[in-house]
Amino acid sequence: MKARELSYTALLVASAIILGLFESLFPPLFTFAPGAKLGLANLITVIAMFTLSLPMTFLIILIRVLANALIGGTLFSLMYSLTGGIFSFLVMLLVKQLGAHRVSIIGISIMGGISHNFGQLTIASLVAQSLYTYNYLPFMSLAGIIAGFFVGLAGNYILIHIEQLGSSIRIKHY
Amino acid sequence: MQKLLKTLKPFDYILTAFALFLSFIPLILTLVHKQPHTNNIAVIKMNGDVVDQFVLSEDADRLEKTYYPAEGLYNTIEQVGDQIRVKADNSRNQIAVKTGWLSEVGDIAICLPHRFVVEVQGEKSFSEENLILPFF
Repeated sequence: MKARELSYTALLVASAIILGLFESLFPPLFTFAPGAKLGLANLITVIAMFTLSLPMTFLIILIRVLANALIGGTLFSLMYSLTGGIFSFLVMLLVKQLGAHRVSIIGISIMGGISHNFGQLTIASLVAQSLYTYNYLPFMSLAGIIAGFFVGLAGNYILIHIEQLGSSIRIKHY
Repeated sequence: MQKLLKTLKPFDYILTAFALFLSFIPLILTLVHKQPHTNNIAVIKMNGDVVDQFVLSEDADRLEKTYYPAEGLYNTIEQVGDQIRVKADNSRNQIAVKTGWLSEVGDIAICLPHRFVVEVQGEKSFSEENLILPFF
Protein backbone atom coordinates (compact mmCIF):
# COMPACT_ATOMS: atom_id res chain seq x y z
CA MET A 1 0.00 0.00 0.00
CA LYS A 2 1.25 3.44 -0.87
CA ALA A 3 1.98 5.90 1.93
CA ARG A 4 -0.50 8.30 0.39
CA GLU A 5 -3.33 5.76 0.47
CA LEU A 6 -2.44 4.78 4.01
CA SER A 7 -2.52 8.36 5.26
CA TYR A 8 -5.80 8.95 3.41
CA THR A 9 -7.28 5.87 5.11
CA ALA A 10 -6.02 7.05 8.50
CA LEU A 11 -7.55 10.47 7.85
CA LEU A 12 -10.91 8.87 7.11
CA VAL A 13 -10.74 6.69 10.24
CA ALA A 14 -9.91 9.73 12.38
CA SER A 15 -12.74 11.76 10.81
CA ALA A 16 -15.19 8.90 11.38
CA ILE A 17 -14.26 8.62 15.06
CA ILE A 18 -14.48 12.39 15.60
CA LEU A 19 -17.82 12.62 13.77
CA GLY A 20 -19.20 9.79 15.94
CA LEU A 21 -18.04 11.51 19.13
CA PHE A 22 -19.24 14.90 17.92
CA GLU A 23 -22.69 13.51 17.26
CA SER A 24 -22.93 11.90 20.70
CA LEU A 25 -22.60 15.37 22.26
CA PHE A 26 -26.01 16.37 20.94
CA PRO A 27 -29.42 15.08 21.96
CA PRO A 28 -30.98 12.60 19.49
CA LEU A 29 -32.37 14.34 16.43
CA PHE A 30 -35.25 11.97 15.78
CA THR A 31 -37.58 12.13 18.74
CA PHE A 32 -40.09 9.88 16.98
CA ALA A 33 -37.67 6.97 16.56
CA PRO A 34 -36.12 5.77 19.82
CA GLY A 35 -32.39 5.21 19.41
CA ALA A 36 -32.07 6.50 15.84
CA LYS A 37 -29.23 8.86 15.06
CA LEU A 38 -28.16 11.00 12.12
CA GLY A 39 -25.15 8.73 11.70
CA LEU A 40 -22.63 11.31 10.58
CA ALA A 41 -19.91 8.65 10.69
CA ASN A 42 -21.68 6.87 7.83
CA LEU A 43 -20.59 9.78 5.67
CA ILE A 44 -17.06 8.42 5.93
CA THR A 45 -18.25 4.93 4.96
CA VAL A 46 -19.87 6.41 1.85
CA ILE A 47 -16.73 8.36 0.92
CA ALA A 48 -14.53 5.30 1.56
CA MET A 49 -16.76 3.11 -0.59
CA PHE A 50 -16.17 5.37 -3.57
CA THR A 51 -12.47 6.01 -3.10
CA LEU A 52 -10.95 2.93 -1.45
CA SER A 53 -10.95 -0.82 -1.93
CA LEU A 54 -13.60 -2.94 -0.22
CA PRO A 55 -11.30 -4.43 2.45
CA MET A 56 -10.06 -0.96 3.38
CA THR A 57 -13.62 0.37 3.64
CA PHE A 58 -14.56 -2.56 5.85
CA LEU A 59 -11.49 -1.93 7.99
CA ILE A 60 -12.46 1.73 8.44
CA ILE A 61 -15.92 0.68 9.67
CA LEU A 62 -14.44 -1.87 12.10
CA ILE A 63 -11.86 0.53 13.55
CA ARG A 64 -14.38 3.36 13.82
CA VAL A 65 -16.93 1.19 15.66
CA LEU A 66 -14.35 -0.34 18.01
CA ALA A 67 -12.69 3.00 18.78
CA ASN A 68 -15.99 4.72 19.53
CA ALA A 69 -17.00 1.84 21.79
CA LEU A 70 -13.70 2.09 23.66
CA ILE A 71 -13.93 5.87 24.03
CA GLY A 72 -17.49 6.25 25.18
CA GLY A 73 -19.57 3.17 24.56
CA THR A 74 -20.92 0.09 26.22
CA LEU A 75 -21.00 -3.53 25.11
CA PHE A 76 -24.51 -2.93 23.84
CA SER A 77 -23.65 0.18 21.89
CA LEU A 78 -20.80 -1.83 20.33
CA MET A 79 -23.15 -4.64 19.28
CA TYR A 80 -25.59 -2.04 17.99
CA SER A 81 -23.20 -0.04 15.88
CA LEU A 82 -21.25 -3.07 14.66
CA THR A 83 -24.36 -4.83 13.36
CA GLY A 84 -25.77 -1.59 11.95
CA GLY A 85 -22.45 -0.64 10.36
CA ILE A 86 -21.79 -4.00 8.71
CA PHE A 87 -25.39 -4.48 7.59
CA SER A 88 -25.62 -1.03 6.03
CA PHE A 89 -22.24 -1.53 4.34
CA LEU A 90 -23.42 -4.78 2.73
CA VAL A 91 -26.69 -3.25 1.55
CA MET A 92 -24.99 -0.12 0.19
CA LEU A 93 -22.51 -2.34 -1.64
CA LEU A 94 -25.35 -4.30 -3.19
CA VAL A 95 -27.28 -1.18 -4.21
CA LYS A 96 -24.09 0.34 -5.65
CA GLN A 97 -23.88 -2.60 -8.07
CA LEU A 98 -26.94 -1.22 -9.87
CA GLY A 99 -24.65 1.31 -11.49
CA ALA A 100 -24.28 5.09 -11.50
CA HIS A 101 -26.97 5.60 -14.13
CA ARG A 102 -29.60 3.83 -12.01
CA VAL A 103 -28.80 4.89 -8.45
CA SER A 104 -27.10 7.96 -6.98
CA ILE A 105 -24.89 8.36 -3.93
CA ILE A 106 -27.92 9.78 -2.13
CA GLY A 107 -29.97 6.66 -2.92
CA ILE A 108 -27.14 4.40 -1.79
CA SER A 109 -26.82 6.37 1.44
CA ILE A 110 -30.58 6.28 2.07
CA MET A 111 -30.59 2.48 1.72
CA GLY A 112 -27.59 2.44 4.07
CA GLY A 113 -29.50 4.49 6.64
CA ILE A 114 -32.56 2.25 6.48
CA SER A 115 -30.57 -0.98 6.70
CA HIS A 116 -28.42 0.42 9.51
CA ASN A 117 -31.54 0.96 11.60
CA PHE A 118 -32.91 -2.43 10.57
CA GLY A 119 -29.69 -4.06 11.81
CA GLN A 120 -29.97 -2.22 15.11
CA LEU A 121 -33.60 -3.23 15.56
CA THR A 122 -32.60 -6.85 14.94
CA ILE A 123 -30.15 -6.66 17.84
CA ALA A 124 -32.82 -5.00 20.00
CA SER A 125 -35.24 -7.74 18.99
CA LEU A 126 -32.74 -10.46 19.94
CA VAL A 127 -32.00 -8.87 23.30
CA ALA A 128 -35.67 -8.25 24.04
CA GLN A 129 -36.55 -11.68 22.65
CA SER A 130 -39.57 -10.14 21.02
CA LEU A 131 -40.57 -9.63 17.41
CA TYR A 132 -42.72 -6.67 18.45
CA THR A 133 -39.56 -4.62 18.26
CA TYR A 134 -39.99 -4.58 14.49
CA ASN A 135 -43.18 -2.54 14.92
CA TYR A 136 -40.86 0.45 15.23
CA LEU A 137 -39.53 -0.26 11.76
CA PRO A 138 -41.60 2.44 9.95
CA PHE A 139 -40.28 5.12 12.32
CA MET A 140 -36.75 3.79 12.14
CA SER A 141 -36.93 3.60 8.33
CA LEU A 142 -38.17 7.16 8.13
CA ALA A 143 -35.31 8.30 10.37
CA GLY A 144 -32.94 6.27 8.18
CA ILE A 145 -34.28 7.90 5.01
CA ILE A 146 -33.88 11.42 6.40
CA ALA A 147 -30.44 10.70 7.83
CA GLY A 148 -29.33 8.84 4.70
CA PHE A 149 -30.51 11.66 2.47
CA PHE A 150 -28.44 14.31 4.21
CA VAL A 151 -25.42 12.06 4.59
CA GLY A 152 -25.68 11.18 0.88
CA LEU A 153 -26.07 14.83 -0.10
CA ALA A 154 -22.96 15.76 1.89
CA GLY A 155 -21.09 12.74 0.49
CA ASN A 156 -22.05 13.77 -3.03
CA TYR A 157 -20.55 17.24 -2.59
CA ILE A 158 -17.43 15.97 -0.86
CA LEU A 159 -16.77 13.40 -3.59
CA ILE A 160 -17.15 16.06 -6.30
CA HIS A 161 -14.57 18.16 -4.50
CA ILE A 162 -12.19 15.27 -3.94
CA GLU A 163 -12.31 14.70 -7.68
CA GLN A 164 -11.67 18.38 -8.40
CA LEU A 165 -8.65 18.41 -6.10
CA GLY A 166 -6.86 16.37 -8.71
CA SER A 167 -5.27 14.30 -5.98
CA SER A 168 -4.12 10.73 -6.39
CA ILE A 169 -7.37 9.65 -4.72
CA ARG A 170 -9.63 8.61 -7.56
CA ILE A 171 -13.36 8.18 -7.45
CA LYS A 172 -14.25 4.62 -8.40
CA HIS A 173 -17.04 4.80 -10.92
CA TYR A 174 -18.41 1.33 -10.35
CA MET B 1 -33.28 22.15 -6.01
CA GLN B 2 -33.24 21.33 -9.72
CA LYS B 3 -29.64 20.31 -9.45
CA LEU B 4 -30.62 17.99 -6.62
CA LEU B 5 -33.45 16.43 -8.60
CA LYS B 6 -31.02 15.88 -11.43
CA THR B 7 -28.65 14.08 -9.07
CA LEU B 8 -31.34 11.63 -7.98
CA LYS B 9 -31.72 8.54 -10.14
CA PRO B 10 -34.81 6.36 -10.76
CA PHE B 11 -33.78 3.55 -8.42
CA ASP B 12 -33.32 6.05 -5.57
CA TYR B 13 -37.09 6.52 -5.52
CA ILE B 14 -37.95 2.89 -6.25
CA LEU B 15 -35.71 1.40 -3.55
CA THR B 16 -36.66 3.98 -0.92
CA ALA B 17 -40.38 3.49 -1.52
CA PHE B 18 -39.99 -0.28 -1.52
CA ALA B 19 -38.00 -0.31 1.73
CA LEU B 20 -40.49 2.03 3.38
CA PHE B 21 -43.34 -0.22 2.27
CA LEU B 22 -41.60 -3.33 3.63
CA SER B 23 -41.02 -1.69 6.98
CA PHE B 24 -44.76 -1.41 7.57
CA ILE B 25 -45.31 -5.16 7.26
CA PRO B 26 -44.56 -6.14 10.91
CA LEU B 27 -46.88 -3.38 12.17
CA ILE B 28 -49.65 -4.44 9.78
CA LEU B 29 -49.28 -8.09 10.84
CA THR B 30 -49.53 -7.07 14.50
CA LEU B 31 -52.65 -5.01 13.85
CA VAL B 32 -54.29 -7.80 11.82
CA HIS B 33 -53.74 -10.32 14.61
CA LYS B 34 -54.98 -7.96 17.29
CA GLN B 35 -57.72 -9.30 19.57
CA PRO B 36 -60.64 -6.91 19.88
CA HIS B 37 -61.92 -5.69 23.26
CA THR B 38 -59.82 -7.72 25.61
CA ASN B 39 -57.55 -6.32 28.23
CA ASN B 40 -53.93 -6.27 27.20
CA ILE B 41 -51.17 -7.55 29.39
CA ALA B 42 -47.94 -5.77 30.16
CA VAL B 43 -45.10 -8.25 30.40
CA ILE B 44 -41.94 -7.24 32.23
CA LYS B 45 -38.84 -9.11 31.13
CA MET B 46 -35.39 -9.02 32.67
CA ASN B 47 -32.52 -10.82 30.99
CA GLY B 48 -35.03 -12.47 28.69
CA ASP B 49 -37.09 -13.96 31.54
CA VAL B 50 -40.62 -12.86 32.33
CA VAL B 51 -40.61 -11.46 35.87
CA ASP B 52 -44.02 -9.78 36.08
CA GLN B 53 -47.29 -9.44 34.21
CA PHE B 54 -49.89 -6.74 34.74
CA VAL B 55 -53.38 -6.61 33.29
CA LEU B 56 -53.88 -3.26 31.58
CA SER B 57 -57.50 -2.46 32.29
CA GLU B 58 -59.06 0.97 32.54
CA ASP B 59 -60.10 0.50 36.17
CA ALA B 60 -56.72 -0.78 37.35
CA ASP B 61 -55.14 1.00 40.31
CA ARG B 62 -52.13 3.20 39.70
CA LEU B 63 -49.02 1.15 40.17
CA GLU B 64 -45.36 1.99 40.48
CA LYS B 65 -42.66 -0.61 40.87
CA THR B 66 -38.90 -0.55 40.69
CA TYR B 67 -36.83 -3.42 39.33
CA TYR B 68 -33.13 -4.00 39.80
CA PRO B 69 -31.85 -5.95 36.75
CA ALA B 70 -28.32 -5.92 38.18
CA GLU B 71 -26.39 -4.29 40.98
CA GLY B 72 -26.51 -0.51 40.64
CA LEU B 73 -29.11 -0.60 37.86
CA TYR B 74 -32.77 0.26 38.28
CA ASN B 75 -35.87 0.62 36.13
CA THR B 76 -39.08 2.07 37.54
CA ILE B 77 -42.33 1.31 35.77
CA GLU B 78 -45.63 3.09 36.21
CA GLN B 79 -49.06 1.80 35.29
CA VAL B 80 -52.03 4.14 35.08
CA GLY B 81 -55.20 2.38 33.96
CA ASP B 82 -54.62 0.67 30.64
CA GLN B 83 -51.27 2.34 30.02
CA ILE B 84 -47.81 1.51 31.25
CA ARG B 85 -44.42 3.19 30.85
CA VAL B 86 -40.88 3.08 32.06
CA LYS B 87 -40.99 6.11 34.32
CA ALA B 88 -37.32 6.30 35.15
CA ASP B 89 -34.10 4.36 34.94
CA ASN B 90 -30.40 5.07 35.29
CA SER B 91 -29.34 4.13 31.78
CA ARG B 92 -27.41 6.68 29.77
CA ASN B 93 -29.59 7.09 26.71
CA GLN B 94 -32.97 6.80 28.47
CA ILE B 95 -34.45 5.18 25.37
CA ALA B 96 -37.07 3.16 27.28
CA VAL B 97 -38.11 6.25 29.25
CA LYS B 98 -38.37 8.35 26.09
CA THR B 99 -40.49 5.68 24.43
CA GLY B 100 -43.33 6.89 26.67
CA TRP B 101 -46.67 5.27 27.36
CA LEU B 102 -47.48 1.80 26.04
CA SER B 103 -51.01 0.51 25.70
CA GLU B 104 -51.50 -1.30 22.39
CA VAL B 105 -50.49 -4.87 21.62
CA GLY B 106 -46.99 -4.80 20.22
CA ASP B 107 -45.93 -1.65 22.04
CA ILE B 108 -42.56 -2.23 23.56
CA ALA B 109 -40.03 -0.25 25.60
CA ILE B 110 -36.54 -1.62 25.71
CA CYS B 111 -33.68 -0.63 27.96
CA LEU B 112 -30.89 -2.52 26.23
CA PRO B 113 -27.99 -1.91 28.63
CA HIS B 114 -30.13 -3.21 31.51
CA ARG B 115 -31.70 -5.96 29.39
CA PHE B 116 -35.03 -4.72 30.71
CA VAL B 117 -38.13 -4.92 28.53
CA VAL B 118 -41.76 -3.88 28.95
CA GLU B 119 -43.96 -5.39 26.28
CA VAL B 120 -47.72 -5.22 25.74
CA GLN B 121 -49.25 -8.50 24.68
CA GLY B 122 -52.80 -9.50 23.87
CA GLU B 123 -54.68 -11.64 26.36
CA LYS B 124 -54.51 -14.45 23.81
CA SER B 125 -51.01 -15.45 24.84
CA PHE B 126 -52.35 -16.31 28.28
CA SER B 127 -55.07 -18.62 27.07
CA GLU B 128 -52.72 -20.20 24.56
CA GLU B 129 -50.48 -21.28 27.41
CA ASN B 130 -53.41 -22.86 29.19
CA LEU B 131 -54.85 -24.43 26.11
CA ILE B 132 -55.31 -28.17 26.43
CA LEU B 133 -55.82 -29.97 23.19
CA PRO B 134 -58.46 -32.68 23.28
CA PHE B 135 -57.47 -36.20 22.32
CA PHE B 136 -58.71 -37.22 18.94
